Amino acid sequence: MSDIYRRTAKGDEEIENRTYKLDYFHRFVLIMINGKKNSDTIISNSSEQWNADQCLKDLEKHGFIVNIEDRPNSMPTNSSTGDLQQSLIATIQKHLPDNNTKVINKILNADNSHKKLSDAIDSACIFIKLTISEDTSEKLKNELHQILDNSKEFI
Amino acid sequence: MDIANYIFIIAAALMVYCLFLVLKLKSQLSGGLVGKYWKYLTILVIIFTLGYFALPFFNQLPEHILRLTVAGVFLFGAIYVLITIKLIKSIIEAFSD
Repeated sequence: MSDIYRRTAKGDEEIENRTYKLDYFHRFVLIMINGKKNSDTIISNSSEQWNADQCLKDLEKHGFIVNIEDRPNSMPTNSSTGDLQQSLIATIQKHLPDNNTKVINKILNADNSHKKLSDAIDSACIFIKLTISEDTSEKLKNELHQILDNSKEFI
Repeated sequence: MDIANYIFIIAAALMVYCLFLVLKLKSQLSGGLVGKYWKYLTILVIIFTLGYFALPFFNQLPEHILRLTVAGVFLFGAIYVLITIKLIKSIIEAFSD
């Protein structure tokens, strides 16, 4: 049976401040955790090289996430920054199912500010325009900026 | 072996290295502005590499074929420079958009 995870306070702290310096693959998976998607969905949305199944186990073992199937009364997490990054990454994955690691890294490496994320989107889209597709770059740029602008709660 | 032959060997070795680099980078460029020009650069580098290896046999060619070959080298060289300039221009434009 597939599990549903949510981030703990430690997981949110890692997303926002990189306190525990997780590697990229664990961070990618951690960002996808939202308390709604089950583990099968997360694994299928992940790149094979991330080894998402193992990442989930590691994250749970080290207290970054908890299985809410085991804890039905657990409270939902407040992680607007992570959710915003997650929706940006999901949009990137939708338009660029392959060869998206460098683009996702740019979003993940951006600081938690509107300006930095906007710069990361622009930079990622230039990379796509030069090396992947001009059309995809334009579509993705518009969509990502729209998501960023629509994120009311983002500080 | 005279000095010209040494220069030919160095040139051929450099061109083989260019071919290696151009093919290696090609796998990272599935399209986009750079990808569009890269396939033309790859074709030209392949032509030049073959040409460099054919160099030792050029003295067996009739003079009019040899003149045609040299003209071809100049033409492809000019095309190569043109593509490189257009590629750099596209990259600058992409960053200035």
